[in-house]
Amino acid sequence: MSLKMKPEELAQTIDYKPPKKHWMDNPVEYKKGTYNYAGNPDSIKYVHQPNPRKWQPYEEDWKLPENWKEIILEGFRERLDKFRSLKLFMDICVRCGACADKCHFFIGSGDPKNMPVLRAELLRAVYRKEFTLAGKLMAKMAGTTELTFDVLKEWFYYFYQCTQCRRCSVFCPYGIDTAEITFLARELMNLIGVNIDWVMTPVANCHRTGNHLGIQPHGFKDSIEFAADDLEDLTGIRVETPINKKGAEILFVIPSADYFGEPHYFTLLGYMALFHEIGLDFTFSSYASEGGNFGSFVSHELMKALNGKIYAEARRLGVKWIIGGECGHMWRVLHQYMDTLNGPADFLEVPKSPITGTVFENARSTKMVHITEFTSDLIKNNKIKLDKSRNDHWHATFHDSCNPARAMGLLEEPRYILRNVMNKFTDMPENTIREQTFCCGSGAGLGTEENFEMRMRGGFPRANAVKYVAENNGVNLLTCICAIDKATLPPLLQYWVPGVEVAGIHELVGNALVIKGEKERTTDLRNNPLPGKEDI
Amino acid sequence: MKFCEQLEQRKSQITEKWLKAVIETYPDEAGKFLFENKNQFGNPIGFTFSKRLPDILDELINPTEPLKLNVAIEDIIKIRTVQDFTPSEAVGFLYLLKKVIRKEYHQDEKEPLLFREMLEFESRIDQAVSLAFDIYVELKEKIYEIKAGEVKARYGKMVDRFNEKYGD
Repeated sequence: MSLKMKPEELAQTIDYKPPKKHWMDNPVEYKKGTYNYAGNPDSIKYVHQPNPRKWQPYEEDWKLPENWKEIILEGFRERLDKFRSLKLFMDICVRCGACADKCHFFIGSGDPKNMPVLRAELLRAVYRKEFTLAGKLMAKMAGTTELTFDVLKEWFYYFYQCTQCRRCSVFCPYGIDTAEITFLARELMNLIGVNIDWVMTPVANCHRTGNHLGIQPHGFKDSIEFAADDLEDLTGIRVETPINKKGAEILFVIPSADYFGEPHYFTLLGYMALFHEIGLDFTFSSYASEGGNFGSFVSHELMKALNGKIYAEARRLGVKWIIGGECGHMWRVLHQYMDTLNGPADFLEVPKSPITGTVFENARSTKMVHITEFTSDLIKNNKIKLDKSRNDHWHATFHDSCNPARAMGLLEEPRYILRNVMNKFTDMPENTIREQTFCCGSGAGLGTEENFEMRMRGGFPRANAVKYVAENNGVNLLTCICAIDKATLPPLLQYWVPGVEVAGIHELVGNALVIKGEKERTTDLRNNPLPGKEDI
Repeated sequence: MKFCEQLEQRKSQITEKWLKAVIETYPDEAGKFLFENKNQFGNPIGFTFSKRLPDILDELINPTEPLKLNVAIEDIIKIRTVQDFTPSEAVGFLYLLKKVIRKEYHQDEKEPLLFREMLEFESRIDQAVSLAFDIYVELKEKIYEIKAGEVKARYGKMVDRFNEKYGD
């Protein structure tokens, strides 16, 4: 560079733009805040999965088996035979780009490998190289890649940056379910012990004690009884806490965060108050004490095992049918996989509400009804008394949790309930709700502290829509029906939209529910004063 | 200030070029989308940049109240703090304005008064960078606080209640 350059000219030479490289030629760099820690070997051993060892993604040596490539390629071959969908999804994409700008991680990060088509291309490029004639003959023209350690690092990085939310699939003209491509990629990596701890440890816990947190039966019983104590303090009513009650009509399955985390806990209080009020004959199960199925984030085999315990408990307790709580991916597993994994559940009866007589035809095969379907039916049939004004301190909007919305089409029931339990409800803009809903950015096992920056990127489109209704309509509450949402939306909003809180639908039902014989309610379920009762 | 008047007249061309330069800090394949998709909800990064860069330029040309500049910079920095940028790259989008302006007014350096005014304007940009750096650090601190709170919320009050019942 010439020293004779004038300062202004010199300044012109500064280039702020990153160097140009082809998108396939950028090796992955594991930066803090953008990846998840590796699976704990003890957890991996517990569920008999391959290659348990201590390692971390940022380390040079991942301690892979010597023949790791063969294991993955053999696994790939097996799955191409086993799952016709995989073969179809590998072959059929014409790279039209309809999905490209639909992923919340791409929209929030600007990283092109988060375009669903390119993320899937990481797998397809290897598929073409190894399993297609064109790829073998014309490697470069067919867009192939050899499976190397660098490629594996990219797989791990990007397939653990997909929350399996399936927003992109809504826009695919061929109906490619990109989440299933992520399923399969994660399953292949799991064959050589490449997985994450926030999936593997909950899976192991769930296998052992029935729930992700590893809470044992006596701990579960205590938690439910604590909730009954709290509800009694708030309402003056002592509710029943049936656990493992044989012969109950209904098994009630909830995500474990409902009896441990906040704000989930207030939703649990809402369910319990409601069931008491209508006199429902139900039971919790201390082993089916988890609706969530983290197995679905890593392998079909583990998904099947964890889903199976719900039905095993239903059989053991001799119930007629099942109600499921405000849980997210439990519903995808239930609606899209359960029937072929563990079903059909012929030993159960087609769900029929004992209060209204409504038969839930949609659950004829799985025998499991979503709590918002059940409650909206109660409201529709005037079976409960609701005082909307008890929620007047909230102006809510509704986040369609990805799995209930896109995997089971549950779009109206939550909104119907909200409109009946509160006065102020405003939907977010059209292209951010219902089947086009934006993910929280932390699903499918990615909701860890170590992955925080990545979660903030992925959750930005959702938060951006919340910000819009907060600023324009005065919304101060984001409601949702998923435990991962309830855990990860509060931090997301603290960062992007401070002042907006998060709640489950049944927390608001519990606030509004007028219970026979209750004392004068002066607080909501969070123990905050009700509107007009601030001085009491 | 004659220089600022000129900037005022050419504001829209300058912000357009600045926006392009900021978007070029993202990989090429993303640039087209970030620049062309104008939907507030489908492309919140592009939308925020398109809205806030002109606000910043306005405040640099005619400062009205510090809060306005703060809000506009914060909206952009909030995005770049959690993206794949180093701290200097995150706040460096403001330096790109210097680059755009220098290119625009390079030929006018013979006019000494105007050149001096340009340098004065550039110090305003430098001040804005300092402000952006403060905001960046505040946001990082906020992230650590949120992370700590998240761990607590995961177990709610239950751990305390178990301790109450069974002792530590």
